Amino acid sequence: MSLKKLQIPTGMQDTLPGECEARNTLEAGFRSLFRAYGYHEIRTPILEYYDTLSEKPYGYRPEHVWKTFDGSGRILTLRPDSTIPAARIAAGPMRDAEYPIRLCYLQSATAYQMDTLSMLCEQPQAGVELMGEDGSLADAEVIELAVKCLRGSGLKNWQIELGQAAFFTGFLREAGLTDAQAHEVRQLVERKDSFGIQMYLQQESVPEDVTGRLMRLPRLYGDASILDEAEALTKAPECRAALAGLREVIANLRAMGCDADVTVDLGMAQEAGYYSGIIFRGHAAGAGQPILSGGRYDGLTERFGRKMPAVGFALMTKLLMIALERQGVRFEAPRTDVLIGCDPACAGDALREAAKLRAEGRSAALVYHADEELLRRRLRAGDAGRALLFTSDGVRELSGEGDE
Amino acid sequence: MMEKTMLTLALAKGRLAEQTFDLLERMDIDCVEARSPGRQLVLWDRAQNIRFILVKPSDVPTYVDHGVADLGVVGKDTLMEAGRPLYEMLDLGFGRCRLCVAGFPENQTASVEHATFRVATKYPAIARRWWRAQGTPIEIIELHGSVELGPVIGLSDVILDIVESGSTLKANGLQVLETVCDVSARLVCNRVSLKTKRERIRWLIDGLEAQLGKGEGGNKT
Repeated sequence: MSLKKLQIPTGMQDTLPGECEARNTLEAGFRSLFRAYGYHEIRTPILEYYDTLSEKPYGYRPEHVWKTFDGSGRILTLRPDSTIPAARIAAGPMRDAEYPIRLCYLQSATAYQMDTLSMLCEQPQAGVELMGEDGSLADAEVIELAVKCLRGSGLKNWQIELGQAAFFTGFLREAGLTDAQAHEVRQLVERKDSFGIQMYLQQESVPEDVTGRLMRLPRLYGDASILDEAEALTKAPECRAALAGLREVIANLRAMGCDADVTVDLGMAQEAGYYSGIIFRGHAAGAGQPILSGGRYDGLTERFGRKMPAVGFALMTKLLMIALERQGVRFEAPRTDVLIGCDPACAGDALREAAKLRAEGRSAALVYHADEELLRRRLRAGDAGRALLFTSDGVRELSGEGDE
Repeated sequence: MMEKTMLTLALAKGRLAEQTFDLLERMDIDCVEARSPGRQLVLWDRAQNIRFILVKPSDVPTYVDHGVADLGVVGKDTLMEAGRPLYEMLDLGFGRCRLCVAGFPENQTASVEHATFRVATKYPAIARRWWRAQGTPIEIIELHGSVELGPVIGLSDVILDIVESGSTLKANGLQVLETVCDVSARLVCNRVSLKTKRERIRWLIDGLEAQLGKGEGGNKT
C-alpha cells in the first residue's frame, strides 16, 4: 500500500484515544468553570469570509490564514481565532442581547504558525469573551478565569504576565517616533533587544534621552514594583492611565487570591493587532511558547456595527497538554472496564451481561468470537480491567496469565 | 539552603564559547569542565547548578527556542539567519565582524545570459530578505564554506558573508560592496525561561553586564 495514503496535511494532527480522553477531562473542567461564571458556550463556523478577518487595522495577513473558495469564488478562511467570530456574533445575531455579554468556546483555531516552532496549525482552544464591560473589574475577572484554568489543569511552574497595549503605544507616541520607527522599535522590544534599539535610534538620529528611555522598555518586566519604575519614565496621560489601570487589576486579583501567579511585562507587544488595553500571556515550563494569550479589544466589535468594550483570552489546550506531559503527567490510553468474549451462539447471555454492567455504570465491550488468547493479551496490555468468556460451557472469568 | 534553579546555556563551539567562559569565570562560575569537554556533551558547574551544552553555532537558536536551553551565546549573523523569536538580552561585544555583500566592483550589471543576479552565501534567509527589501530578484546559491570562491570561479555574481579583516577578499581581488549589518556575539534567552526563571536569569544578566561594563569594550545596553 502506498504510504502517501497514511499522510495528513502538514500542520494537522490526529487525536488518539488517550489524548482525546485527557482533553475531554480538561475541557469539561474549563466548561464547568466558565459556566459557573455565567459564560454561555457558542460554536462558530469553521469557515469565515477572508474579508471579515483581513480588515485593517486589526486583520490577519494573507500568509497567516488557511484559504479556500466558496462556489462563487469568494475567498474563505479556516477560522484563525474565535475572538473575531465571537465579536461578530455579539454585534450581529446577538445585537439585542443586554450587556454584559459573556461568551465562551471550546473549539479549534487554524492558522499558519509563522514565527513559532509549532507545527500545530490547528489548535484546540478554550476561551472566554466578556463584552460590554469596561474597567479593571472586568479585566480581573477574565484573568482570574485564566488563572483558575491553569491551576485546575494540574500544571506546575507557570505564570501569567500582564502587559498594556495602550501603555506601549502611548510610550512610543510620547517619544515622538514616526509610525515606521514605532513599528521597528516594537519588533525590537518584542525581542527584548535593547542594543538593537540603541543602534536603530542612533541611526535614525533620535535624541539620546529618548533613546535611553526606549531602551528601558525591554527591561520593564518583573513583579508589580516595575510599575513604579515605568511611571517615572513617562508623563503621557494615556500611559499613566494605563499603569493606573494595571495597578487596579493587580489589586483586584490580590483580593481574589490570584496575584501570586501574575507578573508584569510592559515590553509585551501582542501579535493580534486588535488589543487596546491590558494584554496577557500564560507561560509554562516545558512549553517553549505561550500557552495562553488574551487582552482587551475595545475597538474590534465596532466594525461589526456595535461598539462595545470587550476582554477575553484563549488557552491553547494542546500546548497546555504538551507542557503537562513534559512536566511528567502521563495520559494513559483509556481502558474498558470489562471485555466480554463470546461464542456467537452464546451472544444472548453475553449481551445481557454487558447490559447489566453498563446499567451499573461500568463500560463493557464485546468480542464476538471465543478467542481466549486475544482476551488474555488485552488484559495483559492493560486495555481492559476484567475479561469474561461466554461459551457453550458457561461463563469464565479470565486472567492475564495463561499459555502464550 | 534551597537548591538554585538549574540554568542551561547553549554555546557555539569554538572562540565564542571560550570568550563566554572568560566572562563567566570572572563571575565565579566554574567553567573548567566546560573548557575541556572531551567526549562529554553536557558539562556542569554543579555548585552553581549551571549546565553547558556545546553545539554547532547554527543550532544554538534551535536549542534556546525549544526551551531545552534557557540561554545561548551566538553571533548576530546566526540569529538573523535562524529568524527565531528569542529575546536578545545582551550584546557581549566580542566576535565582532560585519555581514557584507562582496564581489568584483566592475561586475555589477547582470548580462543577458545571467538574467538573474546570483548570490553565493551561507545565509540564504538573510540574503532573501536583504534583496527582497530592495526589490531585486536573485538566485541564491547556498554554499557551506569558501564562499569567496563563488565570484572568483564564476558561480555567482556576488557573495553575502561575514567579513572580519577582509584579507581573504583582498587576496582574491574581491571588494566589499555593501555592509548589511554589524555582527557580534549576543546573549539570547528563551521567552518562557525569562519569566519562569526570572530571578536566576536576571542574576546572570546583571553579572555579565557588570563584567562588560568593567572594560573589554563590551556594549552596555
